[in-house]
Amino acid sequence: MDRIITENDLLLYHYKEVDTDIHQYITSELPSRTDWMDYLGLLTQIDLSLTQHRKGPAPTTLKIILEQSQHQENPTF
Amino acid sequence: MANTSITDGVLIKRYLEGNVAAFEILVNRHKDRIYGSVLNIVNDTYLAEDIFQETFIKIIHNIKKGSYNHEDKFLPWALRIARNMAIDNLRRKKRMPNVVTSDGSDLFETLLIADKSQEDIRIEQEEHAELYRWIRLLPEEQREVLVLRSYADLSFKEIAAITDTNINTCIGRMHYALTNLRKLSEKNSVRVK
Repeated sequence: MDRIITENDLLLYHYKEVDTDIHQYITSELPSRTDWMDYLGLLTQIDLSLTQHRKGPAPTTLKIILEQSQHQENPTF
Repeated sequence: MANTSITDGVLIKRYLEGNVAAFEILVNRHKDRIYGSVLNIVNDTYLAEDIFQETFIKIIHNIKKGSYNHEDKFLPWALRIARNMAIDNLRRKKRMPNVVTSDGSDLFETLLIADKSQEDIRIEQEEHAELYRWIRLLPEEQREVLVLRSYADLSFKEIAAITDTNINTCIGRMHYALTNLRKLSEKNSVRVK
């Protein structure tokens, strides 16, 4: 690889948005790069943290929405 | 109706043909991501509930009006509506997002991690809870990108379209968010990689 891997590359790598050649290069070099692993570790922690706090809307809100979905008139096309 | 293999586009088509159950599947498929994203952006449970409801009422209206033409890109389209609703609500009510310090441990989903002691799991949960509090302290633009990428699983391209910016701006905001989270972790001497 002719260019330096940036944190932006690592960001895109984590979310699988990086180009294939860069993805392969990062994967191959990762075991020897603790700084990269730390950065990717933070991203994983963020994903886990947000997932742990996953919440849904209240059942009454869903009920109102589903009632609305039944009652709204179909427009004339 | 078996729902796992039916695309969002097909569900919307069936709903337009009069199949209300198709819309219910669509709502259940995306409710947590849309609600969770709104909540993480506005930092207010009651406001998030209102916005979520308003968003889906508008979605119903737009679908029935024939305005939905995004094929199977329902989630980015819905999140765009939700985001615009959130901004409108915050402006109208002149409410700034509140910083909530804790949501209570009963809201946590237990991580199923084998080969870890209860103590390890407890420490990890505390670290994630701490990180979550810091995420909620981030500036709104940074938090928005982070939540839409990490939680809603939108691509940076989709986030750029929703937020009327470009990909580089979104990546930059995400980068600043990570830098700020690192600073917060150093300041609070809590281990965040």
